[in-house]
Amino acid sequence: MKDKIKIILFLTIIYIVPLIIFIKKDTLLSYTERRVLITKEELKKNPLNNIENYLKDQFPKRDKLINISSIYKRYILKNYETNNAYLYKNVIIEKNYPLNTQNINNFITNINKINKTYFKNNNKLLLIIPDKSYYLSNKNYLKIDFNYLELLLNKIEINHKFLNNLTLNDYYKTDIHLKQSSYLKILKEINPKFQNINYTKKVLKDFKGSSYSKIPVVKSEELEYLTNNIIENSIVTHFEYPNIKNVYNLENYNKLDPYSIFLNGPSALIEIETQNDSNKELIIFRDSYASSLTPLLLPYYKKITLIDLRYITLKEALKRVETINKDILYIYGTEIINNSNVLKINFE
Amino acid sequence: MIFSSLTFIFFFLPILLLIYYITPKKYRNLILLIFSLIFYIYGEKQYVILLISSALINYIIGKKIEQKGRKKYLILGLIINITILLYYKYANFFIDTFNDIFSLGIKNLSIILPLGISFYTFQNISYLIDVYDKKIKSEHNFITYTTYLIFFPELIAGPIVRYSDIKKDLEQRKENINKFSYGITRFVIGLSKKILLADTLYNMKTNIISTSMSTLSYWLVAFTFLMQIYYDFSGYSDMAIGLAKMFGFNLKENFNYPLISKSITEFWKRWHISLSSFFKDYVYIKLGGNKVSKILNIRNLLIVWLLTDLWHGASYNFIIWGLYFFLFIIIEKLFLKKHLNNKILSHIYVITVLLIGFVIFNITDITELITFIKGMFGINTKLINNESLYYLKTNLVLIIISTLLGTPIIKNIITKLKKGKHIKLLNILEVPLILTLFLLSISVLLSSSFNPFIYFRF
Repeated sequence: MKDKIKIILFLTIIYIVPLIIFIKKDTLLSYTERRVLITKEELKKNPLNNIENYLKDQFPKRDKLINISSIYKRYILKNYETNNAYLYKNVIIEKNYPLNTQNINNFITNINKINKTYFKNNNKLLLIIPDKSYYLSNKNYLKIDFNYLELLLNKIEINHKFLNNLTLNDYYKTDIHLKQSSYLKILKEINPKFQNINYTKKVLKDFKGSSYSKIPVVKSEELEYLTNNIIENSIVTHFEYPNIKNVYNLENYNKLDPYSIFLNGPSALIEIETQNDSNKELIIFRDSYASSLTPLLLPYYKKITLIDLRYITLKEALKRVETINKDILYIYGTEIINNSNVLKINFE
Repeated sequence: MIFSSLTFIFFFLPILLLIYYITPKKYRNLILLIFSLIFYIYGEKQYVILLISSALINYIIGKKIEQKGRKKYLILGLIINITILLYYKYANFFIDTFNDIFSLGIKNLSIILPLGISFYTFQNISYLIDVYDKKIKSEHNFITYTTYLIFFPELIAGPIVRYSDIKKDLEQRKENINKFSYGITRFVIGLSKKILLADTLYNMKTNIISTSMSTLSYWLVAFTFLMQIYYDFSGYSDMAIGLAKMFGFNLKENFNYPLISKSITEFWKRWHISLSSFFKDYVYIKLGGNKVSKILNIRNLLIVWLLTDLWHGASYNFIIWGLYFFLFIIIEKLFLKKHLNNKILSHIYVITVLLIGFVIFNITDITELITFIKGMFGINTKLINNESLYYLKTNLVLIIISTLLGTPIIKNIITKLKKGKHIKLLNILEVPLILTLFLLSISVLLSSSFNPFIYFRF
């Protein structure tokens, strides 16, 4: 009897699964992994090569099964990390390890050289935002030596600030980024003259950030954004997406990357013009941490230009941007500094 | 195609099972043959002709050996098989070696090693020798012989099956519910070994290697080398045995808890049994085995070990690896075996020799190998660092589970329970346990894109 039950159940699984896969309508996107899935169309192009990935992508209850695998690693194997991330005080923290001194030194050399070459007479500031691993205790976790990192970063020849007055609560639990309201704390670090301005805080429910799928045991949270007339009346010009004109693109909330409501997500070059009386202009060299900070800087500038050197070379960016008399702000998280080889900086 | 792929489990296997079981018995070998060819072609299109030619040549030679001029045809068969193997597996190795010694600058040949060539060549050789020795009669049905040779469960990573072991099943096998059920169990156990243990150990290894290494890290990596290959290969063998069982075949065991051995000699009787017994029966005993003088016996062992090295691959580290184990076997034979009475000490000795041995097996670059072994003994290396302690702690459960499952503890507990009053409980638990392991393996397989088997290119 036992044998018959085993055989029936095993055969049921191996016959039902492919039937479901081939009968059901293909799932097009994986929201947890933020990627497009392989569909029958692609399978038809090259069946032999694509069949395995097609079955993996279209497997019934795929996300739930992948969650089981994370649970297996976390609760049975008792791995401290799951998919290169830690669960610490109910916050998912992506591992940023080991310290890559070569990348850090390259970052320092490049920042110093950019300033000497292009921005000798501009006001300049570098803001360094610690990634969430900064808040891990040393016990049971691998984290880079942030004291040593700060020591190395002291070789930067312009005014720079390592933002160590933040707390883990300032970040999202399921995403690497800071909550937008947390940036209000640091506005004065950028310029002591920046006064608090009134914003309306809006929230979007059921936010699952980019880290969510790594340890899918943390509940979804709320994504917040701050707005006011200045932000709403600002006009955005995207290098890549000429049709997007708003600072916040709420349509993106239901797409692959909900965080890309801020300035429409990753973008090489963006210009934002405000309706302010200010005559000051700002250029921000940035990674994604700047996406939700920038709207809060709009009240103080006439125009802000954002350059993401991960997607455009320094040379190409500077061909398109006027730099004289503009304030220069660098905003980089410690992940990018530790992996600065992703920045397209060359001086030839 | 690999067994631990969704394509195999949810596409190939269900279709084959359906067609196989609705086909009349007399055509079932043909079905297995066709599907084995599809299985092979999926992984390697270009060498399918070589595979079929190899089957045809050995089938004809087998008959010739039986009919007339026996020795002549045996020698011809051996030459053909060994030449093909030498050409595909070792041609570039020999070219490189000659280039190194004589600075000749001969260009390498553009050869890709045919999938499973070491396994099916050895099956051909064993068949010819057994026909020559009159242990078996030659096969007169080409389909039956080819099915034996390229039966998909053992085609690409063994075990090396002898014709005599499978002949009865090829001609007249009985498929039944018990066998099928046992086949599922073995397949799922093998799949779990591969996905839940071997691949996880691989991840542990790659994580540790990417950090700064301490002596502890080197030993942890050495542990993963040994355990990963054990669970990878024994898992594959379990799957092969299980799959064969689903079609009514009885393949011999290829592993017998080798990690509990109390000597290296014993280890090689428990590890990759089909290869060890091949060399024992077709080389060692043919050369006189141990029924000769001590010096000739040592020579015989040396020949066996040199062949074992070469079978594993055309690389210097495999030669060192074989000689390393040869050395310990000789030392044991000459005097050490008498002193291996203490259980704990003998296990420590065996595991230490194995850990170092499988480092040699895994690292093909000799300079890297020397650095690694120096690291294991603390030369120019810190004893412990933060990273190594972290990886020890975070992988502690994996280390304990993989060590325990390398012993027959679970098997012994089950056997005891079966003898006692708990047989009903065991019967109730078996099905959910096997299905849980199956679904857990599938879930880990889905979450991971990494999945190569180690033993495919040997």
